[in-house]
Amino acid sequence: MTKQDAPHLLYVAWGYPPCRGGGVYRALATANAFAEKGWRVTVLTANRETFTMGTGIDSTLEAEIHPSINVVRVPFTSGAYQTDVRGWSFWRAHAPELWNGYRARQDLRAFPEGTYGGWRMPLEEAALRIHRANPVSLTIGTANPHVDFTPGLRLHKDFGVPYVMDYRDAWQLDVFSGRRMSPPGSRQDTWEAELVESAREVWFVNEPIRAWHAKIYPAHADKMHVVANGYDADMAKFSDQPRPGREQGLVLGYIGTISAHVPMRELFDGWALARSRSELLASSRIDIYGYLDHSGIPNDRILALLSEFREQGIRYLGPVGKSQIADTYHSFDALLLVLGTGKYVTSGKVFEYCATGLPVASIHDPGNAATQILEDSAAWIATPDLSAAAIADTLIALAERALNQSSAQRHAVQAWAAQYERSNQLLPRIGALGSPPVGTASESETPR
Amino acid sequence: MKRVVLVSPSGSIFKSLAELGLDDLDPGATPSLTVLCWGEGAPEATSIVVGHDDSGTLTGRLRRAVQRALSGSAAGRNLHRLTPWDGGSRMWRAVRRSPAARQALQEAGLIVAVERDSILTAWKSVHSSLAPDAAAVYGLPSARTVLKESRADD
Repeated sequence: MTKQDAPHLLYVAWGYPPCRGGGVYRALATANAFAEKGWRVTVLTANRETFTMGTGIDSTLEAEIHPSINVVRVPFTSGAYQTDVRGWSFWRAHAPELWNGYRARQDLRAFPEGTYGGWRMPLEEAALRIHRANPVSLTIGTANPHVDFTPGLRLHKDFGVPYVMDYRDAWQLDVFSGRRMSPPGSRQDTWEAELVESAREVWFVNEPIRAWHAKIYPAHADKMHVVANGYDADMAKFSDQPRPGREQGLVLGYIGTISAHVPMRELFDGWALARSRSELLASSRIDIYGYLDHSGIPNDRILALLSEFREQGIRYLGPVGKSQIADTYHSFDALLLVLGTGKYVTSGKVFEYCATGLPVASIHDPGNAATQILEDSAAWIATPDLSAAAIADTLIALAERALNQSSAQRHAVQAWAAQYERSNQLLPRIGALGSPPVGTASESETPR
Repeated sequence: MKRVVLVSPSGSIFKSLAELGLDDLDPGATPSLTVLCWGEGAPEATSIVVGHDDSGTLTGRLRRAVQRALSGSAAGRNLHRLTPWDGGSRMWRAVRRSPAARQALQEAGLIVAVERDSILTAWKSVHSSLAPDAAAVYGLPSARTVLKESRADD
């Protein structure tokens, strides 16, 4: 098979390098994995200004894009990403939350998704141009935003091109509360039903989310697969040597974005109680790295919380770049996995936490999907509930493990975690899609 | 761009200054940074404290209790925006009372709203006689881009 004969993947991802958002790593790895397996890959994503002016960028990520991948950027003009304050209206400046709500409703006209809905038509038009110039064999859309699914459906309707839906989260399911967010018959429900019905495969990040969708769409359950997140091997070169001097005071670390769902107050209350009961913890500290919300703007509530607990040995140290990630983990003696409640919540960072080999304390509801990942780890401990007393007990036990973990024990955990390297999750699906799918380029260049 | 004013009521900006990308600049081309905040400053940048933490006072405790009660829902947060205790309004009032803060804004080439409660101060500054010619953006990613582009123009 020559390169020109290779199947052509159109991969649709709003968030793609240089975007610094959490979902970018999955998008980057998926497109790269297809390219490494010989596919011709075109990525459809938002324009650079969306990220340079809005989400923020990690400029090192662009260098990680496989050299054969063609990146096509489609302008994204949502008002939520217009950051020139000078051009804002009086009422946007005075009531930003209210304005955001109003704007989100405007975006729903073209597609039922706030902020992103207006991107549907530019995306579909770009996909059509790409297909006409270079026929597409398979489309994969990764959500959220769910508007990323629409080019796949469009190319399928017009040209019979098969498509895959890749959910990093869920659309109609609130993964935190477990509630269905849109009623049957709603626009979201109608769109999703149509998308699922015609999809070749539908991917989810964990089994609870897959099972929920299989129940909603039983006729399509056999094409639903779990493609878990994983850690990226090139970013995860971790030492197995415990930190010298930990007897004088431990460093418990948290790396990740702190959204409003993350139970930081519960953690801080438990931490304060634990410090009053443990001499070791009284001389220890928590170091927090990451962004204080997804949007690039800090969450008001976490800011107030950090201020309230500033005398309790808690330091916020800002975002950490990819190049410093291994050194940052090495400055810790143990890790805090603090997640929002919900049996559908895994988070991407759980895999990286595993790969460090450090003792990990789960500060989340025991029913979270993350528990299934960690329960076989020899370095894991979990709080039975989110009361201050339970969290304090967990932190004291974590401190004991952190103090006594040997190099051999840490190495053994790192070896166990190798199963969660990201390519191990993707390769089975690429293999399944590897044979030229029905309706490939040569027979689908003309519209239906 | 000679002076950049960062409006950061909580002071969270002190741990995120690296995101502005100033390390890439020649030492002679680096703009001076001034942070407008409540409470204590920090060694990472020049700061102008526009008011003091009132959380120990009766008013402060009441304000925090109301804020906490209303922060759980979008409706509650919007209701809070209408009160004089809204963080954005408080910040703007405090800035207007501070001669040093007013002067910093008058000299600013770029005003950065770092948090949601910074927006009103940035917007009012560029829509009044205080800083009519300054650029004003929301968030550090935008500030970084504006600084980078101004370097290219210099």
